Amino acid sequence: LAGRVVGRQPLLQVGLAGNPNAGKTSLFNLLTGLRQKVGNYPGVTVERKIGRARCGDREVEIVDLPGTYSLIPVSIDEQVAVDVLLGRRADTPAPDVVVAVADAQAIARSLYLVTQLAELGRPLVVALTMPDLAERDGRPVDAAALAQELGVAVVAIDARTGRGLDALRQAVRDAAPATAFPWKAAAEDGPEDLLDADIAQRYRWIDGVVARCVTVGQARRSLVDRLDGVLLHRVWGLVVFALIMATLFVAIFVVAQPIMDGCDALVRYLGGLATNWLPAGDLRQLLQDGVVGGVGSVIVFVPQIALLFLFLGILEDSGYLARAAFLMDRLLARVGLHGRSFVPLLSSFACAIPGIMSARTIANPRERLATVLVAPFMSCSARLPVYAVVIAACFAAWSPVAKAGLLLGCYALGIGVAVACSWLAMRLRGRGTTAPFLLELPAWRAPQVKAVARVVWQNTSAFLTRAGTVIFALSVLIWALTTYPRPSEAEVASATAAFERQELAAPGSAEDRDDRREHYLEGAAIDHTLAGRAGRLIEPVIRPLGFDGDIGIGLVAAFAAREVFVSTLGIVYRVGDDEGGVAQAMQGARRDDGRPVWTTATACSLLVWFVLAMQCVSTTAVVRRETGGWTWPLLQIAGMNALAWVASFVTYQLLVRLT
Amino acid sequence: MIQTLIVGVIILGCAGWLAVQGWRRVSARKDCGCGSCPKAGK
Repeated sequence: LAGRVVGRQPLLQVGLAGNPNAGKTSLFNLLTGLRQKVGNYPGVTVERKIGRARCGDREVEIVDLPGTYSLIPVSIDEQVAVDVLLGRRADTPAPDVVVAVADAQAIARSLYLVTQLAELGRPLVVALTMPDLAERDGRPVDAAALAQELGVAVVAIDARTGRGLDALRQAVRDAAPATAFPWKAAAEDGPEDLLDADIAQRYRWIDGVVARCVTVGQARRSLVDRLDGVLLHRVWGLVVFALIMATLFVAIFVVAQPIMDGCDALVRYLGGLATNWLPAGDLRQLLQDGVVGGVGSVIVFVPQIALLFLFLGILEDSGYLARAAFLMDRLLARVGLHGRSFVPLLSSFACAIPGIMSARTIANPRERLATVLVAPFMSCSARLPVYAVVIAACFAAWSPVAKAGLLLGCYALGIGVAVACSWLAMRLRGRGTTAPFLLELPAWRAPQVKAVARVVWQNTSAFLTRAGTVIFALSVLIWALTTYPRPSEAEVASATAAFERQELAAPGSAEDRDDRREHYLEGAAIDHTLAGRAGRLIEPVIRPLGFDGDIGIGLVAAFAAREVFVSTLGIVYRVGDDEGGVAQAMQGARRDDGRPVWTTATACSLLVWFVLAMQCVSTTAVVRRETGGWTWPLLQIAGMNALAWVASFVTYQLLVRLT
Repeated sequence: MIQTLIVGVIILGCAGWLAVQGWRRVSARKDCGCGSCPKAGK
């Protein structure tokens, strides 16, 4: 056998091939233990896992290949698996032995790939996984009979107990190629095309094998089957999906609020401790208004982000999200997307960047492009702080359920517009040839604490990392832009005089008057700064949407990262370590004529803007890389922002007239 | 005066860091395959 030489023995290359979720990775982990390296196949985002193990006296190198249903690939990851098996990749040697991982619960579909692997002419061993589950289902597979039918070794493996591993190691060492291909004998003449005829021929043989090797016990409709009957139902399934999502958003508001209040108090207290020891001056102001007011305003949203991913992690690990993907496939297909678009779109709720990257699994270029272009409409976790702060400030009197409804509405608006845009694109450009969507429905199980904790930690730590790096740096810059140049003493005196003239006729106590003076002078000082001037410059564009110069500064800053909008408001409103944070400052914000800035109309208009606008520079960079040029990302920015402007305009103008 | 100097250094440092990060993202020509690698293109 060919292979690299380790010591005196040649290193045996073993490839683990099988359907997605057949148990390849569990088997790989069992065989290699900690002796594994995880990386990527060069040029594609397909995970490459290689590990070492001993099979008797032989040292072997095992490659865990991406899951595939056949040797006719329909996606990039399947292409990689097939290329490795055929020895077409320069970076990975062709396997000397192929271990076909066959799921005993889905034996017919697994055998289809096994028949193709046998024809490669390489030594082959079949590892039969999940035999205990097949037995529990009343359909145990007879491994010995199957080995007779296939003419290669078949070893049943129990991944939980490790039963069968030694036999598998032995079988790998002694593996031989299949010599007979009995499925070829089942050929029948028919009118089908070659591929259909080949598939039918294999399945005719497989049906016979299954009949001979699988003992069919008493079939009984279990509770799980009945549950799936409801959850996958075309109407009830969608109702349950909507209910689950609604519960999720209510919980985000109700459960997270006390934790957020605690976080807010902690941030303000620590901020006070960190700044109070400094004498008054620029540095103290930077720490107080820029760092505590800016970064602190964003950090308090960590509990909400963690809760969102806690619920999503539970839904994913329990097996519900795969069922949601199945439900969505029917809807996605109608609007020019593919069932495989569901995962990229779902990932985009965390961040559009991994979502767009994972669209590589979609084979049809038009469906892939449509997915890449609409993914940023999904509300990413960076938008959550913006939605939450606007809802908390402007809809404070609403009940938690109503607030959750509004938040859910923001997410739903993004999804609705994404669906409408892809439908429009399909009508205009057609959809090309679409690949079939095969989805493995995992068994229901109690969510594993470790897996859920990993999802929560990955997303929360990513958010905290951004808060400590990009958002920190941007907050410092925005503070500088909203602080310098400072007005001269003469300018302060002139602003004070202007206030006094304006105030002569105004009623109110001396205390109110002092407050108003302070607010007026702060506003005048910000107007004088670079950001204030820039805000005035863009004000004509955003005034029809109900936004003022301060919000304009936030909107511009949000192009670097959306959650910076919240920190910018914290800085512009000089929140510092004040109690109540940004939301309270927003409630107190006034326009020059004394009217409140944050009315219902302004708030809704801003929410619509944030749902629809393309503001993330990092996403644009990734879209450019994924589409191979600047055309699509530029069209995406122009299209999404134009749509956001028009939608915000309509929202604001309608609500102003109605309220 | 010292506070202003420190603030100046912090602002310049943050601006420089952001500029480098932005440039690395936008100028990434090749995909190293890791998904979100700022070193893409190396």
